Parts: sequence; structure tokens; C-alpha cells
Amino acid sequence: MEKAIIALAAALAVGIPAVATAYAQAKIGSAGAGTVAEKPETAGTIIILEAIPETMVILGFVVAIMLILQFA
Amino acid sequence: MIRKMVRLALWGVTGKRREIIEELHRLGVLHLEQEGSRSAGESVRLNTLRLLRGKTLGLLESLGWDGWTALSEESINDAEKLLSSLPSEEFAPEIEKSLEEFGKRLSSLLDERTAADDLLLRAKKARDTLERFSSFLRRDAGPSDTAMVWLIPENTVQQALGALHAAFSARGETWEGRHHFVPGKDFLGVLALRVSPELEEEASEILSRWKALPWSLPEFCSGARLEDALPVLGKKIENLSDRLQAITGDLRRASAEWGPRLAALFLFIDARTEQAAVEARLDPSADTFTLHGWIPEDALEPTVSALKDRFGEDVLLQWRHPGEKEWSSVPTSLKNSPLSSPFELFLKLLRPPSYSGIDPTTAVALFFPFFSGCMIGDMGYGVLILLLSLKLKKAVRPLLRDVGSIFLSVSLWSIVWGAAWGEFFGDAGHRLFHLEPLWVERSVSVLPVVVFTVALGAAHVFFGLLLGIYQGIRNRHRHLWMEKAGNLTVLLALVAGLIVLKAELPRGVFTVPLSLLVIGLALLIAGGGIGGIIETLGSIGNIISYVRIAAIGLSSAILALVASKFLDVFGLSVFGIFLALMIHLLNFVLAIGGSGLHSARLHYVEFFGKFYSGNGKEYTPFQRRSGSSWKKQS
Repeated sequence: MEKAIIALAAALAVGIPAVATAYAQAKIGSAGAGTVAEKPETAGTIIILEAIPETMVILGFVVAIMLILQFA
Repeated sequence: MIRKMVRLALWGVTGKRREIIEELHRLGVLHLEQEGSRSAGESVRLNTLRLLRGKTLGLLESLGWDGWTALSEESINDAEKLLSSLPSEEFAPEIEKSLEEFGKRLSSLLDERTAADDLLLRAKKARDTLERFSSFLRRDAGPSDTAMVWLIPENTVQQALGALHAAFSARGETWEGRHHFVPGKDFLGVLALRVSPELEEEASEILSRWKALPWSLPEFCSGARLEDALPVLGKKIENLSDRLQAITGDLRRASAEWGPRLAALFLFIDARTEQAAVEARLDPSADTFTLHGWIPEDALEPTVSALKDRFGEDVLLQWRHPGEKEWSSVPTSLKNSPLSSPFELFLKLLRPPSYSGIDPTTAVALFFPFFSGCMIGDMGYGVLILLLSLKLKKAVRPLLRDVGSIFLSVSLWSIVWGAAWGEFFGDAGHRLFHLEPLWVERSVSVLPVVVFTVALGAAHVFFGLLLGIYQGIRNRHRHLWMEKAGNLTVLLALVAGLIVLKAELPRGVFTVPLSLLVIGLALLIAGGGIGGIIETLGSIGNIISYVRIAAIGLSSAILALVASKFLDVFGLSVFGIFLALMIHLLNFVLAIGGSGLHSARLHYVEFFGKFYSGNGKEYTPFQRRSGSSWKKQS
């Protein structure tokens, strides 16, 4: 039971930031597509901006790993 | 490395100004800075050249030629030699005359193609419409019946059919089999009728009342009955298709033959236009003229020699190094070793570094492939990327060759890291050749890899902060270097504190990190105030962000393991092998895309943020445009 709760906590630690990241990337993606249509030379910058919210899920991953390694 | 620049001033005799400007353009190293308004006479010449340039480009676009990257320097130089032999006042009318003649021939061909295209489209539409009624039209009816086709709104068709039915009945004619309706697009359907000559007028009146429009055959079928029109249309379509094919062939041949010549001509006129634009700003009534701009120090001597050799006493040249106050206006030109210069590509996404700033290309060349390789970390994928890079390095486009060089570095590091993690297409290496990791198996021992990547991040961020301190001291920005130094000291204090805690060192040692923290905070507040403290918190986040190297690497390793699992489940069957290959293909694409994107991001956000000031001016020497760059700049 305890292991299941730890696994759930780890899943939530990754899952919730993943949803948040997806939401942010969707917003950036749609705005970025418009920007690239207007100014194709901004494509590189937009790709980088698109990758920025992934920090959230990376940090979530760290928390999940720590939870599993510490308590499981 | 940012090249040292020199301010060059040139005084010349006005009578020689055109030749001097041409020579400067040929040398292609001076970043001109010009002031003054255009003189009227020169503007006329400039406008003539611009018009010619536009016409040439228009012809090229009409030809549909786009072989800029394959355009050889030889053909450009040949065109230049040929046209340069004409006196400069004469070549413009000559070229204009030739262009007009060529343009006329081309436009008649293009007009013919447009007309044939239009006819073909109409013929096909007519055929499609008639084909829907072919069986209805062929069906036996009264020998004197006339076939009619009408376009009618779908919402009025029932009323129209009712009215027609009544009219047929009133005359004692059968209604069944005399009409056929096909719904169409946009609520407009097509109605075909067979009516006797007596009813023709009345039927037309009824249909017009219900907002129907008569449909008729294209004019090239005039005289043909609807029932007999299909073969006529088929023949016409065949003829038109043949004609279009012939015109397209002619245009393709014309494009292959004349495209490179016109492109070389365009580049020649473009060069002359650029030169005329510079000339137009000089005062033609004065005895001498002045030009000034920036030139890389390493190109100064050959430039001065070339100008002196050709013009002797007709030019006077003076140069000096920029003063500290001028640094913001000096253009930035980068020069790196052949190994690291492909990585200048990453700076092209940003504004160039300021002249007094730091060129991070070498650092990117070192860290980018290292991080990317660490994420991919598979010898098999590394070999595939190596093959891809060798292919790309042979490409014609310089951009693709640069990407090839970057891939080459990434592939080598991928192989090295693959050996460290013991991965060759996931665990296929272990299964086939008993490959063992030189360090750890990253899909099992996650924590050491996470710790390693955080340490890597700390080293990278510390290096960025050191560069920031260096830049601050060099540019005498006290606040900048103090803030960066404070940031670095606080981070070092935290690292030292962690070491003391983890290593369970005597409590007395704790004074070292504590002292560092106090010094760091003092520097931070002195350099950047409260904002400095916030930046330190950001730096901690930056360091943790490097965990993505472990995270992405882990996902890549696990996906590769999944591919092997398919073989376990399905055995060495075609399906199992196919699924395993598909998963590896997906993983390979994700590995290249993800590792490149995230490595780039670590550089742009985490590393560059510590020192890079992209407020430089781009070095744009006065020179002939390369074939591939005309479109973006014109």
C-alpha cells in the first residue's frame, strides 16, 4: 500500500507538470506558428521558446526520482 | 573569436571614384558607413540599375528558375568579365534591349500556357458535367427532342420540377425519363432536361423563374449537340494536354539554358546597383571624395596594398583602432577555427555579440556535442549519425555542410557516451556481444547520472559566470562583474555547504561556506541589488535544469529497451523485427531532435544568460552577394 502511494506521488510529480508543460507549449506553439508565418527567420527562436516550459516537467521528473529512490 | 576591427578612411580623386568603389566592392571587406544625400544625376543611374535588376529578377521568377545554390562562381565571373568590357554607360541600354526581347518571347510562351491551362480547365469541367448525364442524354427519347442543362439552386429545384411536370402534362407529353437532377457543391445542382421544340421556350421560362441558369458547352464546341459533345471534348482535352506538355518542355529547356545566365546577369547588375548606391551619396562637384568604414585588422594590409597598387597617388588611406566610446558602433565579425566555425550557426539565431563582448562559439563547439552525445548515449545511433553527417558534409549548401560538421561532433560523443552507458541500439550490444558499460547502466542507475548532470550543469553555469566576470572587468562595468562574482560566490557557498553536510566534515569547516555566502551576498547587493539575489535563485534553477540531460537520456535508453522487448515477445519474427526497427527509428529521430533542441536551449538560456550581450552590429562588408543570399536581402 505504502509503495503504491509513493508510486502515485511520483506519477503526480511528473504528471501534473507534464499537463502544465503541454498547456504552455500549446500556447507558445500556436503563437509561434503565427510568428513563423509572418517572419520565417524567427523559426529557430520559436523552437527554443517551445522547449522552455519543459523545465517544469524536468523538475517534476527530479522530484519523482527522489521520491522513488528515497522511499520506495 | 571576435575579430579586431580598424576604422579605415579613404580619400580619392573624384574622377576615379567609380573604379575605386568597384575595387572596394571586389575586395569585399569594408563595412561601409556612409552619410549624405543622393545627387540627382547619380540617382537616375541608380534607378535605371534598380529597374534592370527588378526586370531580371522578374524574368527569373517567370522562368521558375531556382538554382541559386548550384550557380557556379565561374559562370558569375564569366558574365562579369563579359559585361565589364562594355563601357558602364552602354551596358544598361544593351542589357535592357536584350531583356525586353527575351521577356517578349517568354511572355508569349507563358500567355499561351495560361490560355491553354484555362481552356483545359473549362474543357475538363464541361466533360465532368456532361459525364454525369451521359446515360440520360444517350437514352432514347423523341427524335426531335432537345437536350438542355441548367444550374439550379437546390432549394428551388422541387418547385421548378413541379412546374415543369405540370407544363408537360398540360401538353400531353410524358414527364417520366425526361429529366435528371444531380446535386452539386454550394447548394447549386445540375438539371438536365429533354424537351420537345414546342416546350423548349416554356421550360426555359419556368426554370428562369426558379432562379436557374442555363449551362452551355464551351465556345470551342459550338455547333455540337450536348449528346455528341463528349467525344469532341475528349479530343480537345487530349490536344490541349499535348500542347501544354510541349510548352512546359520549352519552358523547362529555356529555364535550364537561360536561368544560370540570367542569374549571373542579376548578380552583376546587383553589384553595379550596390556600387551606384554608394556613388550616389558622393558629391560629384568636389575634387575629392571620402569613404569610411570598418575593416577587420587581418584584412587591412592586403586591402591597402591592393588599393595602393591599383590607384597609387589617387587614393589616400588612413586607419586607426576604435576608441572605447566607439565600441558600440563597431560591427562584429567572428573568426573561428574550422573545427568550431560550424557552431557559429547557433549565434545566427541571436543578434551578434557586441564588439567588446565574448564570442561563445568555441565553448558551444565544446559543450554542445558533449551534452547532445550524453543524451543520445548509444553507439549504434552514434554510428548512424556519423553516416548522416558524412552525407551532409558533401552537400552543396554551406548550411547543410555546417550541420554535417555539428552532427559529426555529436556522433563521436554519442559513441563515447554509448560506451560509457554500455548501449548499442539499447541492450542489443549486451545481448549480441556481451557489451558492458564502462561506467553505469543509465536505465538502472539513475541517481549517479542525475548527480553527474547536475555537476555538469554547475560547471557550465560557473563557466558562464566566469566569462561574465571577465567581460565586466574588461569593459569596466563594475556592477556587472560584482553581480556575476556575487552570484558565483553564493553558488560556490551552497556547493561547499552541501559537501560539508554530505561528507560529515567537522562543524568548524562550515565557516568556509558561511563566509563565502556572506561575501557573495555583499557582492550581489553591491552589484545588482535585490535583483541580484533573484538572479542567484534563477541560477540554482538553471543548474537543476541540466537534469534534462539525464531525463532525456533515460527516456531514450528505455525506449531502446522497449524495442528489444518486442523481439522477446514476438520472437525473431518479421513482425517482431519490424516493430523493433520502428521503435528504434522513432527513438533515433527523437534522440536527434530532442538532444539538439535541449542542448541548444541549455546554451541559449542557462549558459548565454550569464554573459552574452547580443547587442552587436552585424558585419556586412561591401561585397557581391552570394547566389543563395539574394532572396533574403533583396
